Amino acid sequence: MEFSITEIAQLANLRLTKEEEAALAVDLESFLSLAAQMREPEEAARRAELPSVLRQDREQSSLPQEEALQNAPETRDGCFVLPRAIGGESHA
Amino acid sequence: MREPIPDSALALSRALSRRELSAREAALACLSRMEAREDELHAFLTVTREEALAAADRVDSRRAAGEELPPLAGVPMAVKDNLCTRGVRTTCGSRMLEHFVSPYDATAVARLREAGCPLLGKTNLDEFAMGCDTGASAFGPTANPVDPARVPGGSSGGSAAAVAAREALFALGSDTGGSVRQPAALCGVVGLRPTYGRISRYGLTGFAPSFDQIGLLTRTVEDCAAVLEAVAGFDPRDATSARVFSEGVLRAVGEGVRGLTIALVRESEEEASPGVRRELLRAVRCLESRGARVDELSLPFLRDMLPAYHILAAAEASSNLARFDGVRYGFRAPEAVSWQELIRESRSRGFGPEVKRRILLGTLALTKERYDACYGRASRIRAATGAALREALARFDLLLLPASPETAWRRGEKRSPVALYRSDLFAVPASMAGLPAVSVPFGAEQGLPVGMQLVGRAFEEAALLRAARALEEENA
Repeated sequence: MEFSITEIAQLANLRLTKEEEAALAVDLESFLSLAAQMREPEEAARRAELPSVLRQDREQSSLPQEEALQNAPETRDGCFVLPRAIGGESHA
Repeated sequence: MREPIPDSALALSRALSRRELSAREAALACLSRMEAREDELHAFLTVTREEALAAADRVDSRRAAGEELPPLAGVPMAVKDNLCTRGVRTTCGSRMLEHFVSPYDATAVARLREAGCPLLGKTNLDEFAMGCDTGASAFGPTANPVDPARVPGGSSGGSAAAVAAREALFALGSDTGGSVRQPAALCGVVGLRPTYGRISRYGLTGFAPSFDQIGLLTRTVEDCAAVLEAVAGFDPRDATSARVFSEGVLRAVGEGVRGLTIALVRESEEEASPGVRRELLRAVRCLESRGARVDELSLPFLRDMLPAYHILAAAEASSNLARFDGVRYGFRAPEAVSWQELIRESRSRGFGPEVKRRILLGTLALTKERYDACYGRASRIRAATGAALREALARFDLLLLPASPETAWRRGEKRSPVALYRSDLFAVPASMAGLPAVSVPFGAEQGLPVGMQLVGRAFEEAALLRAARALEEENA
């Protein structure tokens, strides 16, 4: 195994059970061997020329606060409620 | 006993405007069809009966008042459950969004509501549109109406099944790497992935935004053109939506294929199942007999595109789905005591196995050690193959290949993830290059529908649908 599934899961902010780790490591491994067969293109291709279109930088209305918060699992006084961000578990 | 309603959206539209039936009767006919079939099919995750009837009643009263109505007014539709619908839950087939109710409509949905199409409900999909048989939905699989023991394809399997079972007259889906064309092929309906930018993606839950495009599932090619005209067009809310006109597609559909040059993709012949290959060659003869010129073309990089597509799409998904953190919307692990734990636990319990697999694959492909060999090479393949496809389409008007290498397989058949990914083999070229492509029912293999695919130049959906119409006539 050339990668650590535990590390990848940590980067992706996922917790995997031992069974999930074992199965997913096999899946990723078999996908990597498929990916290793990809041939490098012989010459660098020119990308399609697409012009960027920018909108006018003007103020516009957005969702009312009440609607923006309507799907939040927990809110208080118009804010999202979270557990402690500092002083809890240290950052990975 | 209620009279059956016409099969196609445009035929129903004509019947409605002649007042042979009311929009309410049309909606009721679809709803009773759903009552009869849904236990077996499970094409819908949410049924919006009251809303559909209220919308139908509004159309009927406007018609009674003598108002001039848009062509699709009163034609009931289904919408894939990764498109936001104001006031109706949008789950993306995921526990993560089981209770999510969007505060706004996707632009495509809003345009169809304005056109007077009653919304019957939201259709099943592989979780976050990641899959090819609708078996990866957190709310259970969908069955293929042609043979309920088989898969409907995916990820827009619910939309394809709803249209094939005549539960809805047409449906919206989304196509990242074939998620409209492949289920359309497996269920025997028409599936269009328009040019990237043709339809606004505002309100479509992103999976891999550089590939995602809203697509259409319809019973006929003409219906497809009519729905395209209703939903397409520039939208300031989607920075990638194009400022091009979308009128005239429906008018062009019947123009025939005389004078079109079409390339048969040789590698697709080698990779298809025997029955699909037979229908492909029959499609060549059909198009030739109607005056098109068909030549062979080799796309030797076809096999490289599949892993390249999956790496790029997974990389985009891993970044895109980082927004699901249990804070602003979606599932929250209630017992988490720290912010880090909240994010990790909410994601680990909210996402299903296929979504986790793709997030991990994308994360792996983006690590410093793998970046160049995975993401970098896949990007270079995308650029090179896109250029090669555009070059081929400078010589030919259209490319012809099957929409899927095989017909619908049995539900419950054990397949590895990598084997399932192969189902997208013929669909990814158009996705990689942002080109329009359509799957149209053409023949069968052992009684199961085969879908033929045409790929065209950017924003030339009319040529695509002309050829699709020719194949449809032959298939009738």
